[in-house]
Amino acid sequence: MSVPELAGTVVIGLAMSAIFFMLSVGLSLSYGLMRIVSLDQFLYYSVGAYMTYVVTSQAGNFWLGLLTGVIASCTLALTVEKSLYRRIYEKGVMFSMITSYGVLLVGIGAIKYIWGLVPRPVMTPIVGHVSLLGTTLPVYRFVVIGLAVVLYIGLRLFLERTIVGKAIRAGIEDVDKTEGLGIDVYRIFTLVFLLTAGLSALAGGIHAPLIMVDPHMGLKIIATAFMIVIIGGLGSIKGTVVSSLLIGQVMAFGFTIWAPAAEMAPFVIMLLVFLIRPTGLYGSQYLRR
Amino acid sequence: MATGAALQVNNMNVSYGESRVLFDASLTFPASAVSVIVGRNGAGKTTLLKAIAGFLKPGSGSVVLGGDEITGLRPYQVVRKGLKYIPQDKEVFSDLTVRENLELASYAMKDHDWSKVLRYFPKLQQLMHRKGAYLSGGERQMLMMGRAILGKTHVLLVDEPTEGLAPSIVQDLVAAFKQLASHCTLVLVEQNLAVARELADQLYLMKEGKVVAHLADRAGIESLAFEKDL
Amino acid sequence: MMRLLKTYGTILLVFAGVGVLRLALPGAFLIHVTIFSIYTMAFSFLMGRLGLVSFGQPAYMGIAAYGTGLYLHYFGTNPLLGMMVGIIAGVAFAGVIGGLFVRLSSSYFTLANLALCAIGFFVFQRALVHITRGDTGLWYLGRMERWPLLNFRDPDHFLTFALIVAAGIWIVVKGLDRSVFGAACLAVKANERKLQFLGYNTYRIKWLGFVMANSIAAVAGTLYAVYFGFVSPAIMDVLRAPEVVVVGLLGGVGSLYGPLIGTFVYIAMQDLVSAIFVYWELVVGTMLVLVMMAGERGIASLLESAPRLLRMRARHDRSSAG
Ligand SMILES: Nc1ncnc2c1ncn2[C@@H]1O[C@H](COP(=O)(O)OP(=O)(O)O)[C@@H](O)[C@H]1O
Ligand SMILES: [Mg+2]
Repeated sequence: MSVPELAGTVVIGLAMSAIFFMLSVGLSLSYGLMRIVSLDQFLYYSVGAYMTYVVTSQAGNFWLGLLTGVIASCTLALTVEKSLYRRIYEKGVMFSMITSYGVLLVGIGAIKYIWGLVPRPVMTPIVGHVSLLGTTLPVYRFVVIGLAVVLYIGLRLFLERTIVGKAIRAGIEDVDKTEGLGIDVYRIFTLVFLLTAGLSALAGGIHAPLIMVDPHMGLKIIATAFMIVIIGGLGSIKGTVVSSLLIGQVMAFGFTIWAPAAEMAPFVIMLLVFLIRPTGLYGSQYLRR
Repeated sequence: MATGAALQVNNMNVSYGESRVLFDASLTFPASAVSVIVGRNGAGKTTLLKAIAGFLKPGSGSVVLGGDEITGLRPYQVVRKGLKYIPQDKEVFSDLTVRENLELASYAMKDHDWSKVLRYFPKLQQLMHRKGAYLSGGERQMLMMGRAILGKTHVLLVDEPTEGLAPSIVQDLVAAFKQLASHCTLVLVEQNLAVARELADQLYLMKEGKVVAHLADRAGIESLAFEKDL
Repeated sequence: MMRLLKTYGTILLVFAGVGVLRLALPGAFLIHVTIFSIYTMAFSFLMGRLGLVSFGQPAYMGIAAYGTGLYLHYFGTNPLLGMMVGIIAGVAFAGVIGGLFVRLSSSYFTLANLALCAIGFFVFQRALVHITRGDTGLWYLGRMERWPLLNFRDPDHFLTFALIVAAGIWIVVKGLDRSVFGAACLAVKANERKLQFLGYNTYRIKWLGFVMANSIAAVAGTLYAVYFGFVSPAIMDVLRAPEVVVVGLLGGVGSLYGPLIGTFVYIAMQDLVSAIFVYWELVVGTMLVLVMMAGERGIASLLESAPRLLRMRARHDRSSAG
């Protein structure tokens, strides 16, 4: 593999990692705090992508589409949270997983009904290329990577510096004790749920120009997203970052070497991690309820 | 019913699933008095406190705080009404510093004046930047109590505060409780009878999920002995 | 003998009853119900008896179907031998995967199965495309041997065969429920840590239960493979993974006839709905949410427990009155 090829592959991998990170960090955080596995997040991912598609093709502005997607998804997520999750939180992980799969399916049915089954293309908002180490790469990929870095730093600052962030960290350790201080933990749950939905929608919109938008896009990425969460360890942000980076690179190199391997490799890695640590790289074995 | 009661528990029944652990418990805690609950392990003391604080839903019965019925409120609502519960396990948030632990309580209770906390527990001042994971048992107990007295505090429920602590630290805590008693109604669960005798204005004895004795006079409290009565 | 008949006679009667429905209902529908209820039984065994919720059941069914399909497409013509090959493949696969997966705590287990299913789909659709012929699938309907007494291409023959297999499986499951092993499974589900303290090897119990459950899924897979005379990656499509969860919950997990009742209701509804409505996700999703919100227990256990509930209510009324 030559240097230009290598550089190109690494950048493609990083862009994938960026999207995986946006999609899985919220899932991991939600599990840590609320002990839910919220599969409806993949609906918000699809909604984010579809809104981006609609606004980009109608109004010609990708960034506006991204924003619309985030707002639409958060509104939808708020409705679902208020109507269903209040009863889900008390019931545990399995219950949330099954019920939210129901929500996801309803959403997919609705998307098929509204936009049909045909995959839709989304125009790349930035068409320029840059030269790097003897290869030319689309600027858009660097923007994606940059955005993920900004989000990661923002999330860290939010969790470490703000009082609500501290309450979230406290809740991840022990929800009852957090509530025992007089904090309305359900409000914090709602906030984290919306944060996760917003990130999922953003991931969907950002991902849209790199793939085609189609009704099953949420289902197609579930396995990878959860492999990342699992490899990193449920509830660990650091783990999510590490495994996003790992899986992004593995898939990118897989594609350049032998395409079918790219989709197999994360699974192999997951099995290897399980052999060594059944709770993922950074997951705590005490994180159960 | 007595009107001077800061907290009253009426005919409370609590079950974990199928197994019933609290039977018709009725207790009255007068304002500005120190009440101590004693009983062997498994008697249901922790269950009682958790049910009062809203962490367990009682099957039947009611909790009245200063004339307000608080049965069935969520724990944070109970706390905001001024009833604080300090659990038995002495766990503070281990990833958060002492300062952050206090900040959270301040945020919840909208009380940012820590002078009271530092007056009762001056030792916390030097520990501000230490993470919860690196505090000793006594320091954690102090931090938990410090968090609890922020904002309005009418009643403080404390579950086995002296359990597993060195005698000198127990003495510090007893001193702190004596001071606190003039500001709020204290309800302590205590297995250490010496401490119980020293602090109690009245005493409840629990056995197998039932309240079996109520001693409201000093003579009765002084005569309590572990082997004989528990 | 009489005692056995008393214990297991109901099962024979129930499946004979399904057979009798053939007088009124299409064979294809009843065959589908029979096979799918076997598939659901596997899920229900895992969830109801071991407390393991798998979101990747199509993988275990699909492996067995491919075992049968590959044998009948490339090697032999005897469908019964094909089924044996499929079941062995399914059991071996479950044995290996189970060894890895049952160690995982519940959330990890569920998600790992989901990932497994996605990968399985991909392997048969793309990675092994030279052997499996991808989405085109493997066809061998014409190659399968026919016998006068057992012609798999005759719906009535096949239905009879499938019903006998199903009854056999139900008898085995009921036997397991009544055995020490069944009790051990339930104990693991109720309180695994306690059992570990008592010195039981819960890992072995879970592994064995997992392999048994997915052997049942393997049987369903091979039945589909010989019934259709064709196998394609669609059988392990991850998009269909929730279906068995819905059906299992609809019937009520852990109960003996829940899988059959749930499947019957679900497939009847699906047939009626899809005749007038193409967006099946809307229906399945809504049903899933409603079933969960209605109380997790499903139709069957509601029927089974109604008398007990009434009795308990009566006793409660009496005690609170006294
Ligand atoms: N989470 C629980 N689930 C089931 N039983 C419990 C639980 N917590 C406590 N118990 C049981 O309830 C009874 C009372 O326990 P507890 O209130 O902790 O007693 P104490 O605090 O007086 O030692 C004990 O028999 C205990 O085993
Ligand atoms: Mg206790």
